[in-house]
Amino acid sequence: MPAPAGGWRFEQPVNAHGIPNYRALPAALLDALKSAVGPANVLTGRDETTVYDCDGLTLHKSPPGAVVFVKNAAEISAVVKACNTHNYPFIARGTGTGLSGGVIALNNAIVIELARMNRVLEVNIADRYAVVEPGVINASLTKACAAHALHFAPDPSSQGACTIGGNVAENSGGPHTLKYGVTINHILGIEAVLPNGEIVTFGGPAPMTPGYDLVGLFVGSEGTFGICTKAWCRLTPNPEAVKTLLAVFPTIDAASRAVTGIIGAGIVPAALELIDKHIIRAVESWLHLGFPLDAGAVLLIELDGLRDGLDALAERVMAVCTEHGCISVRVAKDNAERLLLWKARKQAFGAIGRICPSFYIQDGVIPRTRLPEMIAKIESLSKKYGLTVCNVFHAGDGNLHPIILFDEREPKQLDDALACNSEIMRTVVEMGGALSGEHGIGIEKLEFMPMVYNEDDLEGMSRVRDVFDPKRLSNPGKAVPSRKCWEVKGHEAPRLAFGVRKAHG
Amino acid sequence: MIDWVSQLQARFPQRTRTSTAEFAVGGMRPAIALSPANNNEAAQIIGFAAQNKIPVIPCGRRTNQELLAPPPSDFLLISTRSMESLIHHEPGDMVATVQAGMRFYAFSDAIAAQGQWLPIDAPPGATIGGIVAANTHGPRAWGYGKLRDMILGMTVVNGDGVLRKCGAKVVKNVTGYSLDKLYIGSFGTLGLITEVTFKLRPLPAEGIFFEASFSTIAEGLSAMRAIAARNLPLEMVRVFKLRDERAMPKVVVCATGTHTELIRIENELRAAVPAVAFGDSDKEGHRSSAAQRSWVAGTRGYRRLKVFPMECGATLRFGCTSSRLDSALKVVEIHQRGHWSLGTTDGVIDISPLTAPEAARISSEFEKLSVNFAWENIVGVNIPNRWGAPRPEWALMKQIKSALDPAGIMNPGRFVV
Repeated sequence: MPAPAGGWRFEQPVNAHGIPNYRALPAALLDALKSAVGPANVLTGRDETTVYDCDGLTLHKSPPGAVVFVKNAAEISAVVKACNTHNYPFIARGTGTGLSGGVIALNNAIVIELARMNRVLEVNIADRYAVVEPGVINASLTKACAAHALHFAPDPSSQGACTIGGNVAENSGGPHTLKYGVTINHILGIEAVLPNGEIVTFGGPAPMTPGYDLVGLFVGSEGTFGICTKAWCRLTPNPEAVKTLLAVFPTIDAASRAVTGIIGAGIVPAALELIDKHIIRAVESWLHLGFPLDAGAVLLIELDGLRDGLDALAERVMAVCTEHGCISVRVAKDNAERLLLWKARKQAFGAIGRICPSFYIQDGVIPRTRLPEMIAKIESLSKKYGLTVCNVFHAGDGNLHPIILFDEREPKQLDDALACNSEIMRTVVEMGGALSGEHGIGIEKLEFMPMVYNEDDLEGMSRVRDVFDPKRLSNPGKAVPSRKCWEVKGHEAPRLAFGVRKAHG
Repeated sequence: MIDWVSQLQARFPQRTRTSTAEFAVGGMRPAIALSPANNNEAAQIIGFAAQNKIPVIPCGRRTNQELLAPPPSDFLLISTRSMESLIHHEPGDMVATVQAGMRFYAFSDAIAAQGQWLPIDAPPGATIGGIVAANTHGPRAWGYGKLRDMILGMTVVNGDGVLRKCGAKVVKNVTGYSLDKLYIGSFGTLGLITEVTFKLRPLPAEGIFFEASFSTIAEGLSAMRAIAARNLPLEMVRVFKLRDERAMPKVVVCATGTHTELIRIENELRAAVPAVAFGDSDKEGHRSSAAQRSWVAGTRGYRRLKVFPMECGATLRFGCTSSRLDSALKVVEIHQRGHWSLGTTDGVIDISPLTAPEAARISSEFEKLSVNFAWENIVGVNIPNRWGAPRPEWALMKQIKSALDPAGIMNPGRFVV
């Protein structure tokens, strides 16, 4: 296992081109921003910009140099060009629901706020796609085409708040990723403002765009290749029938073995989610949905497809569950009950907030056959550090979301939480897994990147980044660590979590 | 003998293939053909070529080379045929990692033994690396998606001779840039793909295959649309017409599922196109000759229709939105004699005879209609822009190529970059 860090840096006092980080906003740039979008659409006062200091990962904060509200691609292009003139970093922001620190305005970047670009421009039923602006809320798109029995398949837990632009930047997933794929599988084309201000279009509604798959490359690049200003989204027909089951297990180990069993039997459910006892209790004490409080864990299993085959499939799934010690199965009788079961899953993170002051959510992915082993490891780490670790995750994909609970005000607990986090990450990598399944690297997992990729791999990614953003102005300091050769002698790479906090007091 | 040829021969005596005729590409023999046995050897060979600015043509079993422009003279051919192992297959994870030189059929057999498959259609002999580099998928992309939806990670020797990996070996991953997406369909212009990790599917329990004949392509199209509109979980629905003036256009439908599901699908098909009798369903999916061409593909591969004998002609492959399909077909309707294969948003038409002005007319009409296209298997006719007029984003693609192939040696001049 290669040691993290090594030649890779995670924070630089200067960037690759000698441009200093942490700098004051030049007055001329502020003027240029005001003339690009109108003075009323530029915020600089700390009382107004404080809410833009972080995203869903509240451990890390950095104040933006300014927040700019934009209406269209032309305005974004003008803002980006102004930033280029002053070699000043910028970053686009949707609703800030990300969990990896992806939209933190490192280096006091200009925040380009996309909330006003929230129009669904076209819903094309015949060709089954929609054209949307980046600020459209994920769930609104599905709502916009619901009358035609179509939906946008990626469904992050935050779908009521997160934007399509954010989904594109992070290549977001969700529970139904298991059967339907992640964001990239549902984006046909992108219009983007490149980091030099140029407006380009990649792909489109027609298949077979000649040349390289720039849509595939752009989606998931975490805003480092530019800003998505328009997306052609594939619309998926709603399944004819859906069956939602809640399988109750005495232990989380039994539940995870059932997951491995279901996948191993060649069954691909629409969704296969694991919710452990901690989450069940937190959700129950808040929402009173009728989940069994004595369960070690439950599996939320959704099957969909033709109504003709669904009962037989459900029986197969239940047989596997029973084989692994399932105590009981509740089948949603109607859509209302189905939504109720899903509510527990989708509100899990909110429920955690009610029982603990701080929590840290992970997003590693492991081979599905190793779930029981991983669950045991997480339990032992929880004991080792004396911290509660909850589990609510996309089990069918092997996409873990261990949630480490701690109290940020206790320095030892914060240290322990970060150490526990590192050990989980390390185990994920040792099992041949990925650091992130859907939340992205952001700044949060940057220091772990050298554990999965060697110097050559990272250097290759860096080269591609140079093509799009040679000046490293577009969301700098995220997604992929930078090269050693830019290191300032004697400057040690700080532990990330503290580095950022220290820098801003 | 060219100097670098003898140097390579001396350095890799075991890897040098002596009969270069066997490795001819576009009728041209390579100056030397090398088949590295592992990633490191491949990296050394490409590194050497980069230093000496030698054009490199990566190849598997040469089933896709005719999709590209001919190679430059004096090229080095690097073949993956000595890298054909299944590296890892964990059935419980439904994930497999395979060397690029493994033939798709051999790979399919190996994973089928564990009840799994990769649902694409590929020509016989095609290698994994070739399929990925050419982004080959067949009619069943309609139901299962394209390669991009099935590839999890890759190992590539880029044009600078450096071995790099991207992606992961798990089914969901957003760790670093998705360079794997960039390599799919890049036709070896960024590097030599050496290993690919796939997300597999369980082999279906049962399959059905239907075909119905129509007197015109237009009737076939409307039947296909009526079927597609039912939102059934089909593998494919497509109109085929063989290259024969008496051949009737056929609508071919494939579906898989449980017995109950298939009975339902069968009933729906008959209801969707009531006036026409579908042929007997073939539950085994292995008997009918048309099935040989399409449905069997899962385990035995897509038997591509034999390339027509011709003096001048080409295959036109195109993609468009479904509402544009009729306009696109109007452009090519006079070429009814060729082999046709039409989906709801794409088509493949063999056109022969074909003149340069006619190819130019079709290209220009398609561009006006925003129909994407590629001219393939070109014989005896000059088609300078195989993929149409250069587009603004090609400049960015050229920069990406320069970043990963700085010496510009990988398949130079054969693709859009």
